[in-house]
Amino acid sequence: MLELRGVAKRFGEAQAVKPLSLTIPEGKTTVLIGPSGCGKSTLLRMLIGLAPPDAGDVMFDGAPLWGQLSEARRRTGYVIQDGGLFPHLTARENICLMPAHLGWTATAQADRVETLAALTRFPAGRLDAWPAELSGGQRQRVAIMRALALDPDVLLLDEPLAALDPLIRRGLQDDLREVFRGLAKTIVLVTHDMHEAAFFGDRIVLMRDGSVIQQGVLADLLEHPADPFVTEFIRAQRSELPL
Amino acid sequence: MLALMLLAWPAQSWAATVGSKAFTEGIVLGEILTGTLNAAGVDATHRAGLGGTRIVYEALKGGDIDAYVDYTGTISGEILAGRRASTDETMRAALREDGIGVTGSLGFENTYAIAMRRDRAEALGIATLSDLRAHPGLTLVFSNEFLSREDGWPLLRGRYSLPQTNARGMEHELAYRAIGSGAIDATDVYTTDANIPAYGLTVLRDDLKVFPEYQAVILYRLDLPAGAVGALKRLEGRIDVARMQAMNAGVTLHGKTEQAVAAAFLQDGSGTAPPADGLWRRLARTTAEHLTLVAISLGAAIIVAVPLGILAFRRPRLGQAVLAAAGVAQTIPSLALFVFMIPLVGIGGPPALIALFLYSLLPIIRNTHAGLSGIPASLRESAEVLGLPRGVVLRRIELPLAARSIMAGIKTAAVINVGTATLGALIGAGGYGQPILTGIRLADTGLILEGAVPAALLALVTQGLFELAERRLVPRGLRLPRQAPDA
Ligand SMILES: Nc1ncnc2c1ncn2[C@@H]1O[C@H](COP(=O)(O)OP(=O)(O)O)[C@@H](O)[C@H]1O
Ligand SMILES: [Mg+2]
Repeated sequence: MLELRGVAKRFGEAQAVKPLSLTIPEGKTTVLIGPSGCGKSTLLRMLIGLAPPDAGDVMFDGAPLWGQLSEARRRTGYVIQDGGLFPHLTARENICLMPAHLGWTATAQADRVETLAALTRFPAGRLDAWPAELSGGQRQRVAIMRALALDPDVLLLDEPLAALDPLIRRGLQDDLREVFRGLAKTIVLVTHDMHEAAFFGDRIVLMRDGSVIQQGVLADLLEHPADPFVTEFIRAQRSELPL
Repeated sequence: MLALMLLAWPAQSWAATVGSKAFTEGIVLGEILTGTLNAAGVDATHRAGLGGTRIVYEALKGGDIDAYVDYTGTISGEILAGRRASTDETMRAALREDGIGVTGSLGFENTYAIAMRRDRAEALGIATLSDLRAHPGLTLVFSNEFLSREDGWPLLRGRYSLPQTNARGMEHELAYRAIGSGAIDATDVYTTDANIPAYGLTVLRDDLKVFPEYQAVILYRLDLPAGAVGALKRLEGRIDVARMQAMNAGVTLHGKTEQAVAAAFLQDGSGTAPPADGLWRRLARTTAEHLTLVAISLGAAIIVAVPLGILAFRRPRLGQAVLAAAGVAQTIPSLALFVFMIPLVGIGGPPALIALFLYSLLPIIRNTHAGLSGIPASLRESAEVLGLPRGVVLRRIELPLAARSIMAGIKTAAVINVGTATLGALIGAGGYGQPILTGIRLADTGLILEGAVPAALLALVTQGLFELAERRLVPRGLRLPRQAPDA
């Protein structure tokens, strides 16, 4: 579904992503993890065309992303840390932006919103509230609903839970995993939290300084570290691992 | 856009148009010219009080008016400055190049003179302009025109070697009041001015004969029908200085209208002037004129400036140029802008509309640009990745998010526009500036308030209306105070 072929990205002096290739397995959840500033967000933004690579190709469904950007974006949902909800639109209007633009009937839109609210456990009574009236956790649920509105093939999430209080985060983590399991979409989730990576990830991609250090299931990383950094990074967060 | 604005201004059927500068004598003479033409069977109207010499002469050259009264000294020293027109013949020839003819003197001279309060002048022993040399500390205040024109203060100061360096400019009628109250020592006056006895002033003798002749003459377009020119020429020699002073006094001191004074001069049978409008009728007229100026110029500015603001945002380099150009238009003094417009679009509503339009652009462009630039990158990107076309993103997301800033810009433009529109009266566009100008000219506080109070009220009402509109147009989600805490 998604593939990076020899992509690299530089911002002025900073080499955010060094030349690398990566295949994102279809229908699975891939977690990008690494220390802050290692290039996770930049990599994710390449996948949705927000950070065009200096070199290499981003492949979407077997063809270069650049030739089919709008189409690919409609088949991809993207959620950022603070949700990116439009404050002048209600929760429902945020979710229905694309469906309304594509000419869905009011009934079809309402049905879709209802389904998504049930899926993400969002209180149906709050659907017509403004983002400013919602709690942080509710806003993230709306952001996920908006990303899922067109039932995309791909879902990209950039630290979607990082801004939430620990308790809220736990609740949303559980709900989110339910959603991911139920949908079986190609999902890429960025986090800097090893516990979250282990919790969500079918596959984990560990990055440092713009390079991929190791990729595989958690057990691979634990038992066959490709680099002392892998063990170090995991050990630093060990107390949080569900082992 | 310009064409639309011009079309919106009502057209008038042709009649000879007499003009006048914005001072009492000019307007009385304008009325006399108009009455004379009408009596001779030439349909004529009067566009009274058109600001300064430049404005009226440009209007004459451009055909917006057909005749007005000016003075020989002004013609040679200002209108034809730099064209070597010191004698009658050279002046006539130079005017002819502009398509303008000139009559002989109407019978009086209205020359510049310097006046002081009689008691002050006697106390200091000042009787002539040469005597001023011994008193460098005097406070001199002149009309702006006198202060800057080359045959005014600069000439006087040079010839008499006057030591005073602190001369300031002031609206002429205000200067009379200042000298009357003793706030200043000397100012320029017109020799036909009724205020000289009224304020207890004495005219200092021009002992070196520095001031040139200022004979009152009629300037007229050479394409006027011969009958009209003949009628105007019959006014030559008909008005002497005493008569002119009396007519000026009738207006400035005895509260008669210029029409009434002129009618009495013309002795057109009844000798009565058309009845003046009552306060409410005048208010209704000035309000309608003012609102028309504001509504058309502001409406056009919104239609043009919002897209320009969007363009400036989308194309940063072009945007800098657009913002800079609008900024430059903003720095041109309004009177100068009005004068630039006259050769292009004449006098009256159109130049005022264009000037107000240009003044309204900058706040709207700048706020549209600022509102769009102020949208956080996270929201901009969230909109981008949805896959909506650019136009839809602009309409559904960017413009609503910038609505508050854009509305604030329009409100600023509207309030500035309401204030600046009062200057439109200087070029014959009417509005609340008309009673203000006339009030200053006649030292009539009531008349000044008749323009100033409604103008201030209109500014307040405009502000209030835009705040209401803002409440309707700025989406509710943007007006909510703060985010609810996690629950
Ligand atoms: N738009 C940008 N302009 C300049 N530098 C950037 C930009 N985006 C990211 N960077 C830099 O690139 C590097 C990687 O950033 P990022 O991908 O956001 O890291 P991560 O998400 O892993 O914390 C950092 O050094 C960051 O400062
Ligand atoms: Mg990041």
